Amino acid sequence: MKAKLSQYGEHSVLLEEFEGFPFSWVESLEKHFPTAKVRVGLESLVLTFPDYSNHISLVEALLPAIENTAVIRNSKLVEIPTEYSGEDLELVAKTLGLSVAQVIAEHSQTLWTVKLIGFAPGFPYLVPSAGTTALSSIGRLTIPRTKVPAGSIGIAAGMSCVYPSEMPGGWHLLGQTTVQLFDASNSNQPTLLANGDQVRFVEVSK
Amino acid sequence: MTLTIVTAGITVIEDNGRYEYAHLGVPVSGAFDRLSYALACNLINESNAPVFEILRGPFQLFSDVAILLSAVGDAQVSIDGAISSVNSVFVLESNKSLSVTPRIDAPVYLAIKGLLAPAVLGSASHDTLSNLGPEPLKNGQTFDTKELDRNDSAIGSFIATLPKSLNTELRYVAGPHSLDVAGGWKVEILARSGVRLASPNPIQNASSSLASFPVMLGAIQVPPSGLPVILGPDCGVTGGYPVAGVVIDADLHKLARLATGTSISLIPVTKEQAAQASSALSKAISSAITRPSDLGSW
Repeated sequence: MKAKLSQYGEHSVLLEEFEGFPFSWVESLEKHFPTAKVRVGLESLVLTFPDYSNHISLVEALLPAIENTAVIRNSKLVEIPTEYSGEDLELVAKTLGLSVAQVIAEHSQTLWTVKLIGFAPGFPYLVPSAGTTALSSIGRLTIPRTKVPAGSIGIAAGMSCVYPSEMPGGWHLLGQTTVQLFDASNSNQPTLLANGDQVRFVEVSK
Repeated sequence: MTLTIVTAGITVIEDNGRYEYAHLGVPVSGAFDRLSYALACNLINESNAPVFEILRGPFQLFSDVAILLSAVGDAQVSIDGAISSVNSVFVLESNKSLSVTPRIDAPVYLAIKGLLAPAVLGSASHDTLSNLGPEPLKNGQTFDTKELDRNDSAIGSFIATLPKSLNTELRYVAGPHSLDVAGGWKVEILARSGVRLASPNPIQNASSSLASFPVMLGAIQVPPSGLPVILGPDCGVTGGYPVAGVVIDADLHKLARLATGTSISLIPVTKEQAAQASSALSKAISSAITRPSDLGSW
């Protein structure tokens, strides 16, 4: 593995500018640094050590030997029934010069990969498994909403997401699902999705 | 064996927090003032105990059974109107009420030996941002608790020397992003999710937003406004603003002791200095408490 390393607080190292999905490195890094906690970002990884040794040189020394296993064990395909009735559907269509039906087709025909569960409990950042879609040029809302209902499906910055619960948010909303993404009472598996899972949105009628 | 919250004030239940679910987007949460929390737990000889984090009083509880408690922080504590002492273990006899009123804008920790609080994802901590864990306390709410053991070795324990803490000096290790936040700031908003700072001289070159990356308690985020936010225990697991540094472990408890309008200094230190401060604080915590057994026989 080749990466740019930066000190991040007294216990952590930030890894950036490496090849591949961040989550695909987790298993190898955990194997090489058994005392470290490995956390994933969209384009980065953070290793947090319990001690005060020289983490940067420790990581630097072992990094070349670390290979991307790229094996995501137990990754699954999850279909999310979606009612395409989002508030921003027409705005997105207009911005892209597409019809609403074309926007829905593009979103529902794309196979998505869970790149990160972050921001809030169970919140998935989904990227097109093929890299880009016709929706990729849509950015975030200029003024974020103070309340986005649970189950809302949004797009922004080349990604898609599903809001697991009601929260503030700045993604363009395309639709809505009744699927539960986060269940705090299930401590064994509180989230429906995990890093590396594939997601497909399946259109359902109102 | 029921404990009743007579007056809740602004009180939440906290413990060490949820460390095992960050990869699923779940914040750590947990006690804001980790030093006072550790002392309150150590006093009653329990680790990771669910405690009451009292942010604003008056707080009052009634117990129909005798219980063992400790209170740590700057507060007035009284039992049925008679003043009792903070920073020590005490017994609340059955059918008595206990009042706790914080004297300053800093949380007070009330630890009750044998308090049963419902855990969510392995922790009884209330997370204000994600709304996980037990709800903030309400008047009339009841808890199951255990009757104290009269032979408990914790009885009579007290804090002889509080670890020294200059609460307005926050040391941090700089990085990962190059932004200079050293110097004086004023606290604008204080919440369990973070402390927002103000200054007539915001950071100038702070406009860029990044691909979301893991953040943590104590991280000094610099949003486009150039006015830093120091993340608190209920912060989200990832963030998209540059991070100028992370407050050192030994100073994290100070975040909870700040108040709106307080002037603070952010002081960069090396990782080695952070390690020294952390070990000094651990030593201070472990030697803070005097137990009756330490005093020997007269």
